[in-house]
Order: sequence, then C-alpha cells, then structure tokens
Amino acid sequence: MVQPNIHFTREEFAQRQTRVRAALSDKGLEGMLLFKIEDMYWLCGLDTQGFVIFHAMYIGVNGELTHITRSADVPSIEYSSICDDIHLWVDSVENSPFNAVRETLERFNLKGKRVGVQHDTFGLTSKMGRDLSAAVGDYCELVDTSDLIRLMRVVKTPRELEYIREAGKIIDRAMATGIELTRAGAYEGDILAEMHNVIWRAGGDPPASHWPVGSGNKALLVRYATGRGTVAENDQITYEIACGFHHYHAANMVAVTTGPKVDDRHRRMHEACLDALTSVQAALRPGNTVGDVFNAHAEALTRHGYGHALLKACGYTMGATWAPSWMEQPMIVGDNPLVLEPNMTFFTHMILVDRESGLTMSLGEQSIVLEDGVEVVTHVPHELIVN
Amino acid sequence: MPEPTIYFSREEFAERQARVRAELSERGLHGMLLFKIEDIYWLTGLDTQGWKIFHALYIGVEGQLTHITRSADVPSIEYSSVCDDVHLWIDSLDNSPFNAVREVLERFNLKDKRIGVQHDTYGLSSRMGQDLAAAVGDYCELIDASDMVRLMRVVKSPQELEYLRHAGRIMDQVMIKAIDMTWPNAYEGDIWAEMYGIILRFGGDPPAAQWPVGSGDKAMLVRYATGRNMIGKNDQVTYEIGCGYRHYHAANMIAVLTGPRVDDRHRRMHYACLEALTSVQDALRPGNTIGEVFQAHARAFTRHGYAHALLNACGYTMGATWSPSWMEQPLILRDNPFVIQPNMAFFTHMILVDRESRLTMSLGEQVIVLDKGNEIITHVPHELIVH
Repeated sequence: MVQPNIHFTREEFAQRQTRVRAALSDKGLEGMLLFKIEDMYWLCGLDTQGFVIFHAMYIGVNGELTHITRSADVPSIEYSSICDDIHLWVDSVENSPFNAVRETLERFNLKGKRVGVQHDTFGLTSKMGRDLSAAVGDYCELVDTSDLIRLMRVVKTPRELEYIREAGKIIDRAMATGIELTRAGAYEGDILAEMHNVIWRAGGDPPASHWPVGSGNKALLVRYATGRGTVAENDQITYEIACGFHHYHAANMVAVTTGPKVDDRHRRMHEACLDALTSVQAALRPGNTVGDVFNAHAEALTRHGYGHALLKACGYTMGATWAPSWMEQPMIVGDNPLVLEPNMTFFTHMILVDRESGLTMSLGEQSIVLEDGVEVVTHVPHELIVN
Repeated sequence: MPEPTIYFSREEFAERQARVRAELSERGLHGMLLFKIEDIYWLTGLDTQGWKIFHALYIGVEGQLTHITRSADVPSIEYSSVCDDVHLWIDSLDNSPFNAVREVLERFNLKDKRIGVQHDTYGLSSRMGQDLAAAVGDYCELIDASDMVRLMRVVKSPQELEYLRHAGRIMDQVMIKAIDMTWPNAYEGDIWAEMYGIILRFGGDPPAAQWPVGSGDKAMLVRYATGRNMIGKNDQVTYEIGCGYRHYHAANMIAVLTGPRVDDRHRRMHYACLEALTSVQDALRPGNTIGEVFQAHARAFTRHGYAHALLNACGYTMGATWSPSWMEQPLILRDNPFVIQPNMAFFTHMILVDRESRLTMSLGEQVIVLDKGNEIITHVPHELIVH
C-alpha cells in the first residue's frame, strides 16, 4: 500500500489515539463512534470533502480503529489516513449507513456495552441520529460524548501551531491586499478575487465558510450575502476573512472607511474597538477563564459608551475545520468557565453595529496563548483606515 | 424600513408561500418549522451565512410567517427577507433556541396541532433534534416534512433558470481557463487562483463545497484534500468545479491529461465517459424516471467493459445551495422512481476510477430539462485533452 499523505508524524497520531482511549476508559466506555470530520482528521489524518460525504469511525479501548465508508471513498482513506482498517457500507436507497455502523459494533462484540457517540455535529443530522438509534436499538448503550475529542483539540501541539501561524501569514497578506484595493469606485468582486489569489498561490485552503464582507448597509450584516457592490465615497467595508493551511484556520477582521468625509462616530467606534481588542489580548493568559476574556471586552466597550451594543460573543477558538464553519467551541461568551491554557488559540473580534445610524466598525486578530501573554498571529492596522 | 435586497419578485415569493400552505393543508398540517436555509431562502429571500448561524422559520396555513433568530441576525433579515415578522431568541448558555421555537408555537396557539418539521438537514443536528423534542414536549405533534419544500424546488421558475444559466456561463469560462493552464510544471495553486478570480470578478458566489480537484493519485479521490502540487508529465488532473450565482449552482467536470505519452487505457476510459454522458443527456427528458437516467449511464459503461467500475450515482439536481454541499436530492441512482419534469436541472458526471492502474477519467455537464429534450448549460470539451 502507498504511504498516506499525512501532515503530522505517526507518533503524534498514536499519542492522540492513546489519549482518547484513556479518556474513554475513564468514562467507563468501551469505545466511541465518530461522525465529526475534524475529530477524524485529528485522530488519523482522514482528509476529504467534509460533511457532504458520509464518514464514520470507531475507536475502541482495546486498540480498535476502523473507518466506516463507501467504496467510492476508499481512495480518500488510502490517500490521507494512517488507519487502513475499513468497514464498507454498500450504499443504496434502502441500505442506510447505520446498518454498517451496527455491523461494526457487532464485529467488536459490543453487545450490552457503553459506547460513546457524537450528536453535536453537522456529521449527524437529526434524521441520521434517529436512523442510528433505530439501527443500534438496544444492542448497546450509546452515550453522548460529542465534546470528548474537541476538548483535547483545544490545546494545540507545536506542529498544529506552525500550521496556524502559516495560515496567519497568508491571511495577513490577503488582508493587506484587501485594504490596499478598497477605494471609492472599486468593484468588490475584483477585490475579493485578489484576496483569494493570495491564498491560492500560497498553498492555503479556501475558507471553511464564506467571508462576511460587504460595503454600505451590507457592512452591518457581518454575514455573507450574495451580490457584489461597488465601493462608494464615505463608505464602510467590513472584512472578516480567514483561510486554512492544512485545514488549520486563521482569521482577521477590520472595517475600512473611504473618505473624503469621516464620520466622527466612526472614529469613536474605532477607538472603542481598539481598546477592547487590546484589553482582550491582555486577558488571554493562562489561568483566566474564557468568561474573563468576554468581560474585558465588555468593560472596554462600556467605558466608551457602547454598553448597549455588546454582542453575545467576542470570539472563539480556532483549529482545523471544515465547511460550513471555521468557528469552534468554546465561544468567548460571558460566564464561560473554561480555563485558558498555553497553546490554545483564539480569534477575537470587536464589532460595533449601530442599526440606527447605519454605521459599523470592527477589529479582529488571532492569538496563541503562551505561558505568559500571547503571540498575535494575525494582524490588522490599529489606526482607523480612511482610503 | 428600507426595501430588502431580493432577487425574485414579491409575487414569486407570495406564490411559493401559497403553494406551501396549500400542501400543508393537504397533509392535514397547521404549519411547519423550517431549519433548512435553502428552503428559507426560497420562501422569503433570507440570505445569510448558512448552517453555522441559527435561523428557523415558521409558516402557518392561516398566513403566519415568522423568522426565529438572534438580535445579531436581524440586519440579515432586514437586508434580504420579504418577511418582517421576527421572533427573537435571546441567546445565552442556558437558553436554547428551541425555547424560542416553543414560544412561537404557543403564540400561534398550536397546542395539540399537527406541525411539520425538518429533520433531514444540516440545520438540525441530532443534538438540536433532541433539544427540539424536549422543548416542544407534547405541546403539539411534530411530523417530519423534511422533503416537502425541496420537492417543490426541484422544478425551477424562469428566474431561477436564468440564475442557473448565468452560473453556467461563469463555470464554462472557469473551465476553459483551467484547461488552458494545465501543463507539466504548472502549480495547482496558480491555476486555482485564476479560476476563483473569474468567479469573483463575474459576481458569482464561491462554491458551496470545496472543489474536488487534484493531479496524480489525488485525481482519483474526486474529493477535496489539502495541499497544492505541481502537475507532472504524463499526469492526470481531475476538475470537478462549481460556483453559485444568487446561490444557484452550476457545475462541470473533466479530467485533463498531460503528455507526451498517453496511456491507451485513458483513451478507452474517455470514449466510455463520452458515450455515457451523451446517453444520459439523451435520457434526461420529461416522463423518464431518474432510474432510467442511471441505467443509460450504466449501459454505456457496460458496453465499454466498465460494468465493474460503476459508481452508485451519476449526478444530482442543482439549485440554490449553501455549504457544505452543492448536491441536492434526488441523486441519480439505480431504481430511483422519481419522474423527470420540464424545468428541472441536473448535473451529470461520468467518472471512472481504476485503483489498480491508478488511472481516472471523467466528464460532466449540467442540463435543464425542457418540454422536449434539454438545454446543456455547462460544457466541457468532448475530445480527450492532452497538454
């Protein structure tokens, strides 16, 4: 068999699998079914289209590790996965993949055992969850362990951090290009083309979700919407952009204004965003909770008179992600008790949207938490940009 | 309130809503909860990020139509939706969106009524489905109606067909560019950059799925995988590419060879793919079933000696889709009894992957079914390409 194309050492994969097996044992579980591509990539390297294609894995405490897939996806497994044990699902209109899941449980004699399962993933829709229950019946006891691997993945290894830094370098260049081209009269489609150009030529992955980018009142959405406009005079353009490198994502964010007039409210919003970003980056240190980070953002924006405009979240952790989202839990929300540790990474976004005045401002950068303080891995200009 | 940015007339949206209400009545349902962005876009125009952002819509037979969303997403609704009734979900760690869903059911006095719901969508994960069931309890009876709106959307309106044709014109130019740049020693990242540039400059939407593109062994995956390579001599490069226009997706597919040597097996595979594509396009006419289209493809491959290599599907319908997938049901599968009607659109892909010889070949185009025959809206060269 050909060697798979892997982006981590076999030792690193083996360590990860060992940690998962130990955690399963701790919870009194015999094994676990995975439907989340992020977790499968982390455990064995499987690299494929993502949630549109059915893939499941079983990992057992006694060394079991097997893919459950269609024959059409065996080439993807051979290309990318260090796991060469495959249980085939023969797909047809009347043979659900969960029959193959059941067969795998039987193959490993899991009758009456407690087995983990992931309900909180795009990889298992509500319909699939019901089909899974129907296929497994009372053969074994399925226990929700959606977060078991995600919580391990929150702390990154040196190699993972290298990929995040690489993605950060690419997205910084994409942002510099975007800012440079943002002038009154420019067509958004031309700007987006040049920004993506940077990502492709540098060997990055396209972003796991469409960028929230837009001018005028579309700048307020902070969401993707179809249709490209032309940048106007006295305009505001929101850029919240990201790309992957070996699927590890880095993001940054800024709102660019065009002159010649600059609204004083834009200036005040910008000062508040900058204060909030600085405060948040100071709060991103080991021992603080994620809730403390949210509070740093809330206090700063409140100091500047924007207490009424707080969003419910000011960022989230980042890692290797697949469409439709580059966001991962934990979100930086109030009262989140998760304690920060070194080698976690967070994208933090300071966003003000004033629907009354139709104005918006934002600043966002990504950081790696170090033993003391942070390493900022994506950067945006800290002065108000007026092009 | 400013007028929303919509890409269909208000009359068209009203007709769609009336059809859904009539069908609900027909099924003895009082209304329906939607979690599928494709269906919500079709009913109201709501254009947003997709599955990663919670959105639900309630449509009732007595004229009710309500978005259920967070305050942060009200700007998206105001920007794009013809529905201005919004029920807010105050998001926090301990308030699930399904409490807001329950409130909407109570607001419309739906106690003990039969209400449709969508389990078969990325918009409702297995975890969310469990939370929905817990929040609704026995307040009313939820009936799976996942496919109701999708089955209406399969037949496209004239405006929808215009958007598909527009996406098709963009994809044809993208494909020409890709073929033109595919030579030994070309870097895949440079080719992707030029391809994406065309889509963005023409106002298209980035594809809902990352493109299955690759050279060498990666050509056989017919799946996206990270990492860009250099194209070799005597290489094979698979391109399965798509983009959206107003989210309506068009796709095309080809495998390009580089010389100087051409493997005779590649030539034979190409002949088979071409005959299969022609046979399938001939079978895509009103009155035929989807299963007959599959059979046309299977017979052609069998005539050329590739019966052992048949995939289980040779295409699918296309419409307005969000990541992670541009595929929609019905898939073109053996024995699928679904009857073809005018104004449906199908992307059909003829794919041969030989894992023994490590060779692959493919051809794919998209068609709109007409009253008689069909209109091909994406095109690839029908001769074998050797660069």
